[in-house]
This record gives sequence, structure tokens and C-alpha cells, in this order.
Amino acid sequence: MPNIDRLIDNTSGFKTLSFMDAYSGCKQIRMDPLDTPKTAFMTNNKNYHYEVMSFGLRNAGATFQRSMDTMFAAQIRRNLELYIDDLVVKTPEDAIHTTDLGEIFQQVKKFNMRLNPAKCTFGVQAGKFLGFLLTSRRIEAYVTPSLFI
Amino acid sequence: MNLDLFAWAPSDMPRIDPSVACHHLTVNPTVKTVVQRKRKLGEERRKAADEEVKRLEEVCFISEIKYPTWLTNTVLVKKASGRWRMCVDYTDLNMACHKDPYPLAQHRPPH
Repeated sequence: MPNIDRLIDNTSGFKTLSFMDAYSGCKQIRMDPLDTPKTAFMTNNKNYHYEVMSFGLRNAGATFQRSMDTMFAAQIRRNLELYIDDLVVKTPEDAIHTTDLGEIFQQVKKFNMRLNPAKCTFGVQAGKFLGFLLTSRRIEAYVTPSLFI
Repeated sequence: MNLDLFAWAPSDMPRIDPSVACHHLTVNPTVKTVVQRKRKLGEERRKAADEEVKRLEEVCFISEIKYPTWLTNTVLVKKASGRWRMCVDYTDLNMACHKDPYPLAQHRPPH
């Protein structure tokens, strides 16, 4: 059973990190065409149904995690950790970080996934993941500046 | 170059290969389908919903349906940024679906 503490522990102590985020997460996942009518909702003048997965659906998180685990099965724990639509690429040596990134990009391409450029940071020493601040030496709780106001 | 791996707008987004990612609903066949009563949204929320629906239809995330068996309301929530978020109230449908016990890490924020 994966847990957040283990995800965080697995990303600590790496020299170079890259943070990535799937664009519009669940909207990249298709609904089974047989099930789309069940997602119908009403608006002012028409009724619609979803063609893609909506996060309000009970098992959406599980479907997303399962898909990500399948796409990145060969990378997870070796040079990648992920939680639903948040990815961290981790490399112990600077020199091979681009190789690791290339490998991840290849999987992204292979399965027709898209990343959100506004939420990606490449080749950094520290960054935020699941509310924790990861650095090459340790993990800190990430305190949002607003807490000090 | 890997520029094509990034989506700059929802229209840049294909769908993930359905052989690895496709969402199925496991609706219990003995449960009666539910058509919710229409809730009044109020002028401001209705306008926000109309805009969002238009946007979703343009990028083909939704399409019109006739004679639905399940039908639910939308819920509009004001975001911290002041913009509206449109959610769909799947309470009844979710109650009729079996939970997928796929192991998912429990998110425990540090504060």
C-alpha cells in the first residue's frame, strides 16, 4: 500500500529534481462510451453528458492512479515518484538528469499524455511535492507564506 | 524537442491511450436510476455555468444528451480567485457505484 510518507521519503536526498503536472488531469482520460450517458447533468436549456472523466465521480482518483502506474511502471521508484497527477523525476547525479527526463518524456509521448507547462519545473535542487518541500538534503514541511500574515 | 508534450490550451489535449486509461462505471444494476429535481441556481451562478458549459462543449469534453436515464444538477462554487468552479453533483450515481479499492496513498498534509 503506497503512502504519502513513503513517497516523500523516496524522493529525499536526490541532487536533481524535476516537477511535472498532468494538464487538466482527469480530462485526459476517456469515459467508456457505454457509461457516458450516466454522467448526464442539466443546465439552463440543455442536458449534457461527459465524454471524459469527471473528478466528481467516485472512482476517478483510482482510475487516474492506476493509469499513471501502468504508464510509468518501469520508472516508478527508480527515477520517478508520482501521486495522481503530480510527478517528481529524481536523479542522484546532475549529469544523467536529462537522460531520466528523456525516458519519462518518451512514456508521456507513447501514451498521448500532455503536461501543464505552467506547473512544471525542470532540473532544480528543491521543490514542493504534496505539501512538503523536498531538497537534496532533507524534507521540510512546506509552510505557505500566508500563515505568517 | 518535446514541446508537443505540453498542452497550452485544452484544445491541445488529445486523450490518453484508452488501452491504459479508460474510466468505467460500475453501477449496481439493482439500483433505480435517479433524475434529480432541477435546482434553481440564481442569476450569477447560471451565467457562470452557461460560460463553463460553452467552454467544455467547444473542447469536446461534453456533448448534448437526449433522454438521459440518470440526470443531475450542477453546483457552482466560488474559488479563492473569485472565479466560479462548476462541479456536477454525482451523489446519487456515486452511491450506486462500487468503490474501486485500488490502493491510493492517503494524503496527509503536514499542517
